[in-house]
Amino acid sequence: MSKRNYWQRMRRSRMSRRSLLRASARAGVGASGLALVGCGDDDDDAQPSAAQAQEQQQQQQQAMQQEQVQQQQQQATQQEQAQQQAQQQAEAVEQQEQVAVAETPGESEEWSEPWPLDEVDLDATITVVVPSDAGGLDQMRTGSNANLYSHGAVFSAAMEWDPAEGAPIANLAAPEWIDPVTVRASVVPAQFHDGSILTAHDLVFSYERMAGQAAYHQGGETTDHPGGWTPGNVGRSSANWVRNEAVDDRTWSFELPAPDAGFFVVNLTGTGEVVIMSQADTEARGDLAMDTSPMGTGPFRFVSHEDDTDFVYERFEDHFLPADHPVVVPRYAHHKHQRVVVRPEIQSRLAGIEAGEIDVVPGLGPNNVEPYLDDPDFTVQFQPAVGQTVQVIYPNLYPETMPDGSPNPFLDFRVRQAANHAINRQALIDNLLLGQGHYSLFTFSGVYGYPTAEQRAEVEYNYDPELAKQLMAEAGYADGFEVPLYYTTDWGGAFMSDMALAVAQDLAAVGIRTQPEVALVSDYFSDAYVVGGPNRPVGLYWMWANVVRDIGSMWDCCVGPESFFTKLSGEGVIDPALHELYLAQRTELDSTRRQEMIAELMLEHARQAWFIFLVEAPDAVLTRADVNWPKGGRTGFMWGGNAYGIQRRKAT
Amino acid sequence: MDFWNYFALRLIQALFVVLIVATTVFFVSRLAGNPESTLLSPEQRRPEEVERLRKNLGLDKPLIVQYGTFLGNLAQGDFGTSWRGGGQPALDEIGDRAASTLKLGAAGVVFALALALPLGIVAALRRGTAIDWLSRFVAVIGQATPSFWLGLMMIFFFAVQLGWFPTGGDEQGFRSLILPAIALGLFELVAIMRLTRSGMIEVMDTDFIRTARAKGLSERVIIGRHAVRHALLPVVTMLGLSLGRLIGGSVIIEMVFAWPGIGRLIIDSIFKNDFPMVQASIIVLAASIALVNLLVDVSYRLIDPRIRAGDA
Repeated sequence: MSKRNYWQRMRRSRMSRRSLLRASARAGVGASGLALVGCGDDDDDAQPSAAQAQEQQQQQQQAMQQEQVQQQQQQATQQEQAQQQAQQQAEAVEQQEQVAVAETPGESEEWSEPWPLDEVDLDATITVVVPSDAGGLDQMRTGSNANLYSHGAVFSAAMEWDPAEGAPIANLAAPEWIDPVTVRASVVPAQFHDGSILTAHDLVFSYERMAGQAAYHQGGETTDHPGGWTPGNVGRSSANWVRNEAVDDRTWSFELPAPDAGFFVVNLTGTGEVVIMSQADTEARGDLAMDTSPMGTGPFRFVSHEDDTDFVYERFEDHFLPADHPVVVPRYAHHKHQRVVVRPEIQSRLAGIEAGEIDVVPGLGPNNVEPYLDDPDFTVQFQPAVGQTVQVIYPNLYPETMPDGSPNPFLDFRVRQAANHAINRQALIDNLLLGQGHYSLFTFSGVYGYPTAEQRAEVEYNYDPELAKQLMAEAGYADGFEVPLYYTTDWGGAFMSDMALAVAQDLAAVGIRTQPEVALVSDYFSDAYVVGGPNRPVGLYWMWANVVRDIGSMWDCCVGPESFFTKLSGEGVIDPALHELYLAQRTELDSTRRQEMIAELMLEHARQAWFIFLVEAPDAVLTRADVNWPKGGRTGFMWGGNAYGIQRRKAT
Repeated sequence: MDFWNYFALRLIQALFVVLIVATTVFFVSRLAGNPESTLLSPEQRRPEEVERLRKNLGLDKPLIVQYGTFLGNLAQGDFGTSWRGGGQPALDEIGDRAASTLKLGAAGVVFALALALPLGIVAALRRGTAIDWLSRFVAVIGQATPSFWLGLMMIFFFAVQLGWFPTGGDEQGFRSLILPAIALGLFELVAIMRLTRSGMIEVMDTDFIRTARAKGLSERVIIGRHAVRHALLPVVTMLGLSLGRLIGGSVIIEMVFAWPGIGRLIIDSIFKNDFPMVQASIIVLAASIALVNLLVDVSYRLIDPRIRAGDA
């Protein structure tokens, strides 16, 4: 493939996303407004099961409306707003696509869209390769919750996250927001893999289990699992509710203590997703069985797992959503057998796909896929950073002084500005990332409310070493200073060492001389390194962003006042107004306003140069040419949670 | 010292070695990091969750109490349960993986012996000829080639280009075994070949070989019955010692060939701070090597009458 074709593929990827946005908007009309960010109803004509459930829900709603007239009026207003909003968004997406088509005349969308069903071999076996195996298959258990491909195959969630709308959409349950803190959901008539029918009690049970509150094992205290059972995904708010109950077999009711626009984002996307398990099956078979032979409502039945070797799944033929349903939520799988093989060595993974043993190699760096860009036997897709490829550096702001008693230089805004001006990001992108990637902020670019390119341009620090030196001199550091640069090469791709070296050279050129301190990732996120923030010396700590679509995930862990990286309130050094803005967006119900607040928060964080912003690198997925992995579902990208969408073209 | 006293003494020494290793690995693994740093993602690492996890893993107790519990359980053959998913007792997991590693190691040894012995013998008997030169050339190349590089080259040539073998894994039985066994066994092949060659050269110049020739024995009988047996004594010793090297080398080979053996298990467990699995793996390995050394010592004593005579 020529360079031109490579760029064409990139364009296709962008178009794919737009098309996905359009499909999502169409599929989620009304449901988009169901989020905390604006209420509405689900009149999605592409989801018949959800629509049926919606009818029941409307009947229940009428009864409630008689008792709660004021709420009804408020809701009607919100529904109207949400419908208008959804229509506007759908129109906007349409316009985006028209622009995209105009930008790339003659390009087809065949790669980035699902192939037509009559071209797909529905009986195919797809083999995906992953670098490691967490051992167990219980998505809710600490130590087992990293096997994303297994969880994506076997399980589904009550709702899924629509990345286009930044809102939950119906899946196993069709949600209806009664008020800003209460959701009532009608359970769709889905089956578990053992043939039993999903009920609202299973939803209640699953949320309780995820939060470590399930009665049958006292939250894990009396588990039958010989390795113990600790809930693996008690994130920022998964246990944060005042009511989680089944009104009847088909109706689930959930109430938050306060409006929380980020609640379902955290619990519906990424590794923290609350999957739905069968209460009867889990209680009957126990935790060990869940870890060794999981059972859910997902697109695939579990067949076998050999530790550190492979996972095997077979399509669940009775999945409640048809094969032609949009890929945005799990549906009837487009291949019959899925095998996920484990190969720790990247060259072995690539050799496997070259030899035809493997169909898909995800999670590659640009340097890994460069040899395949011109090869017609393979297809390369790039997407924004679904691995830990958002690169930023946190200058430790906890200590007031350096070890020699001099002031912490990074407490001076001018030094932070200088460090940001010192970085030649374009060189990093051109030389290490095949020309892909862009300026990073402190989250990955898929976060809801992420600033637009135009907004980002306003706060981006251009490469200007002379200005950086001037700022250093003004701050009293004309001769520079020395600090350690902490990082791990286990995250961020194979180019991590090169990138750290390049960044260190850039910083040294303006007087910030670094001594590299490399740690294993297992040590890096321990008290010895980043988590020990207050006790750690002044230095530069490399950091990566996760792929949860809500700003809260990164703010709470790594930026805000309770995080391990920064202190931000009390006697803290970071502007407390930022945290107030963060708290305010959590309760903002107007989606447009909330997006503005999130964008402003991120822009202000950048303006004040609290981090040294580097680049957001692309994540590459390599597939054989007759295999198509349409983006979509859950995160909106290609990752373990939506491998059900992978297709193989019929042999001609 | 009679045989049984000798055996008992060596056994006690071996057990002491294992105890030292167990103690060392217990404390060193805890110096290496906290399991919550790998079991909980940064955003999940809230104090209450860390506390709950540490309690479930028994890490909330004082270190000396943990050590006492560890030794007590060890004495009863209880190596604990892996903290990673799956919930298998550590010893069961090691048993499954050890079988896989032993299969690979055995195949590597068979490959090494099958080529090293004849090559070493022939090179010794044909000193200075082309075959001797060739064998020494192969020896230098073999010892200078990193096994991971050799493994990757073999994958690309024999698996990707020629398609003769799978690129990794163990699903295809014997076909899956060939490439990793060769990559693993090459270093041993070279070492055994050199040892055999030098041993044979030394033996062929000894008095008893001259005596055998003077008695009119055929060259075939002299080499087969007398010289080879004598030259192989150090090879037997070396084979015992090579177990440790094979297992150590298998860590790399198992990663390159995605072979689900104990080497991969150890690496994975270390990265995940899975203390029970790290402890159990290292202790089992140490015990295995100590046992093999014990058996080599004992068998050496049985094989070589001079050692028995020396004791007397």
